[in-house]
Amino acid sequence: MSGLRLLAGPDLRSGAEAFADHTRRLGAPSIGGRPLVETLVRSGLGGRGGASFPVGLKWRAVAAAASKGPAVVIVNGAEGEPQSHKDRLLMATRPHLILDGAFLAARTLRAAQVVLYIGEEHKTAWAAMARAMAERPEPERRITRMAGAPNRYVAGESSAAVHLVDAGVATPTTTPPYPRERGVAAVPTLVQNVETLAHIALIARYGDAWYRSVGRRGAAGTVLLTIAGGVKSPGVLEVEAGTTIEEAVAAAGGVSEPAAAVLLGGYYGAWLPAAQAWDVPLDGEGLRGRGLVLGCGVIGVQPATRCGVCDTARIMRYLAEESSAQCGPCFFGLRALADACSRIAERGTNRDDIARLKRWAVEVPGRGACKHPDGAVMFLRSALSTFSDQFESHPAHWRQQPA
Amino acid sequence: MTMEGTQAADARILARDRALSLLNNITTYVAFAAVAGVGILGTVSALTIPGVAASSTSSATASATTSTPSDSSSTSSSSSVLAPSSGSVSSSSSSGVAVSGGS
Amino acid sequence: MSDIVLWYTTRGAGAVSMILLSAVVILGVLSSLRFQSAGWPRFLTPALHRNLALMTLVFLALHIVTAVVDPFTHLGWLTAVVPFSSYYRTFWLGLGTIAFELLAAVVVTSLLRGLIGQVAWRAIHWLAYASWPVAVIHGFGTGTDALSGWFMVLSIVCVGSVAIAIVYRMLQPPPDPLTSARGEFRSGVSRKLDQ
Repeated sequence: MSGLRLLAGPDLRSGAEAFADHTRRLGAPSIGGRPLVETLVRSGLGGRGGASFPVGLKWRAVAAAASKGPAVVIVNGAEGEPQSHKDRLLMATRPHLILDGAFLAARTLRAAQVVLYIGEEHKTAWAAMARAMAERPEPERRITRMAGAPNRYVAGESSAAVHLVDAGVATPTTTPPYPRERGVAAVPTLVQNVETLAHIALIARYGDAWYRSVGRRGAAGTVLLTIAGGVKSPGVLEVEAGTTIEEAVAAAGGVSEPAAAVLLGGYYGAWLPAAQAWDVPLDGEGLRGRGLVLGCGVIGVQPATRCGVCDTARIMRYLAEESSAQCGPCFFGLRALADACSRIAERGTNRDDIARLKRWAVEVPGRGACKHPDGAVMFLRSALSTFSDQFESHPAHWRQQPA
Repeated sequence: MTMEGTQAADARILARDRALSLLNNITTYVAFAAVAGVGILGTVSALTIPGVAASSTSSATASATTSTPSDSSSTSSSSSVLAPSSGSVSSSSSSGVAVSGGS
Repeated sequence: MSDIVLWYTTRGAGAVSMILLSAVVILGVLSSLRFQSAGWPRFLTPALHRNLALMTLVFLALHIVTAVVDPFTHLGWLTAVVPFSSYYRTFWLGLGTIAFELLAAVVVTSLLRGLIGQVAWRAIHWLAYASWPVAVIHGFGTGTDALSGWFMVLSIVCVGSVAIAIVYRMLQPPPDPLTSARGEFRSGVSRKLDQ
């Protein structure tokens, strides 16, 4: 199943594909400018950074806003989601697909600058992208710079990327105005995930019909997933859109032990009971209809032997600590929610904390400058629903320890 | 900013003007008190050193030899405080004289 | 006779400077609490702090000028700017020079805050916390009246008041409870722009 499109080509273990090999294998993109924007609209390609925002519409908006002046393109390779590996794999093995997409955007949107925003901790990816840049033609190298994304969860958010490039601080900012209207140096800025740019590089060669020629259950294109947790061969896979979670897990070797639940979409995603999860097709549009998100494509398989309450508490603590402390409701709200979860996890269920979780889960969302509290609360509510029995009757761990 | 009625705006301006005159008043009072303080505390300090004019001549020679080496240390002044005699207190005031003799 | 007046003026102005400086420190500490009431808008405390700081410099200038001009002290103008350059009570007087220069730096940078930026201003303003104890210790070590009753009482009142203000301030919850967390996060994700 792997190596379908983005991951097709030389063995991934041999590292980054060189520019010459890349050009020999794929040729040069033939679609550009306005036609490329319309091709992207027709392809239905959705962003792969988490929001699945239609790429063609985004490009149209930036093009319209930048009609009178320059634009900026930010290549988002921050990959702050701890369990996601697809972006760094792509940067380390297919950097020229990403860069093709970036410079197609730069030419189409008349960008004066391209910024490669890569997670500081992704050393292999960084080196591969730097070496790949050295192989690019001079006009592309001239307008490009690389910027390290700090290793914090919210640093990969679009407005945080803009804020770092603009002012040197990777904190999310209030939107509107959105980067596509007003970003770096107050000019329209396209922030695009590296996987999305790689898809664009191929669509610019083969067209939208080609993109839509694969896919299952009415979905189109391919998707990179990171399968993690209780599976035999965890890692990054490329699958057709519309593949079910069960099929994807099978491609990762199947479960290593019976699974109780699946976390779909990373820490802003949702827990699903395993029985419900298997049939869920992985397709941005389709998931939205079910109130789910593909997010950054992480599928976390939770074995039945692990405690859902404890893992939820651990992740809530992480999300609380990753708050940028710009908004009281987020900083204090997530902290309070994490404390309540920890109390239940460590000392056992109590009525008050359950009531608190339910109450605050309603009060916290929508009151921050960015979507961090909203994402965290969505995650928590899915946990309360999926692990409701465990939350209602969680034993105190200290009692379980041998005397 | 929200549109506010002119009444609320006037009230704020009035409050700010009142506060500014309060500031000026306090500053002025403190300035006068400080000037007065210089005079009062200067006089008080004069009165707490009894017979300064008289002792400066008599103890000048006595302290001439002792005060030069102690210029940079505090030991002489602290020991002179423990000693209740006014002569040792005035030795520090006349060390100015000793300096002029030493330089 | 006028020389004695100079000497008493030096001591009086020095004592007044210590009182004023103590009040300035207290008002500075209270400014960070952003107190306000019906008759006392928030800007009053820092504004009074500023006014009294400038006033302190005036009386400090009086203290320094009368000391230097006084023929009995044999202090040159240099001792007012070069620490530990006097023959008379070199160490203790040197502390006074240091306190004066710290204070001058604080006032000048405050007047030029627009030019130097907020971060530099804040860093130098914290030096003010150093100038006050240095000034008080200078008063004890240099002053003829250092341990006479009136000066002791005055000093205890000044030191005590500043101590109370500082302890009170430290016991208050920070005005914006997010300040330190936000600052910590921010400094963790700040990067120098290489262009």
